[in-house]
Amino acid sequence: MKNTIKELREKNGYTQDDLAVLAEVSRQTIISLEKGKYNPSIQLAFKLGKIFNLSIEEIFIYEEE
Amino acid sequence: MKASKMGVDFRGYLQALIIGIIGIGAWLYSNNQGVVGEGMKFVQAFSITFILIGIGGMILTKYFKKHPLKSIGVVNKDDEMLKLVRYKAGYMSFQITLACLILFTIFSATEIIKTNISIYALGIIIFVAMNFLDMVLTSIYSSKTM
Repeated sequence: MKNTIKELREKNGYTQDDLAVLAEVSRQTIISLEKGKYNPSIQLAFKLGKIFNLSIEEIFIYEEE
Repeated sequence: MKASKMGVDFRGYLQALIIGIIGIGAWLYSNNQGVVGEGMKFVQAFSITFILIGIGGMILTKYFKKHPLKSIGVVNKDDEMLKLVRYKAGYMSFQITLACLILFTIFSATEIIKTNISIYALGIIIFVAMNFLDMVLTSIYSSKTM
């Protein structure tokens, strides 16, 4: 699933480590999310929405296969 | 959904401690019965090692959680993605070990493999092999996420 996490993170001036701490996940998870190699749980998606003050649909782009 | 209060590392070390204590208990019982041999020596060493690893690991886990090393930072193994990686690796290790055990059983029963291996030695082999597989597969699955 595509997402705009990297762009949002950089826009807000966070490092991957900062975002990992805020989202209560590991830095490895943030890296995987940004590369689109991991789809987050609904809880993590909501947490990221809260951090960036955006809805889930504005962060994650669902594409039908 | 709340995360478990006891992290996976702490649980692992607690498990090691419990296994070590059970091992010492078994050793004391058998020693009392007059059992001797290489197996007893192995269990004694194994159990003491597990107790030390368990206690040391629990203390260090708590310590590094409060005082993380600068070069490593806080490592959260209960992170959802790392948990998924561990579960995948654990399941695959189990499947591979099970397949090998079934094949070993078949080859032993048909005497294609003839071995005088003791049951406890077989247990050690399975334990080591499964843990080794688990570590390798965890590394493989973990690097696939990066």
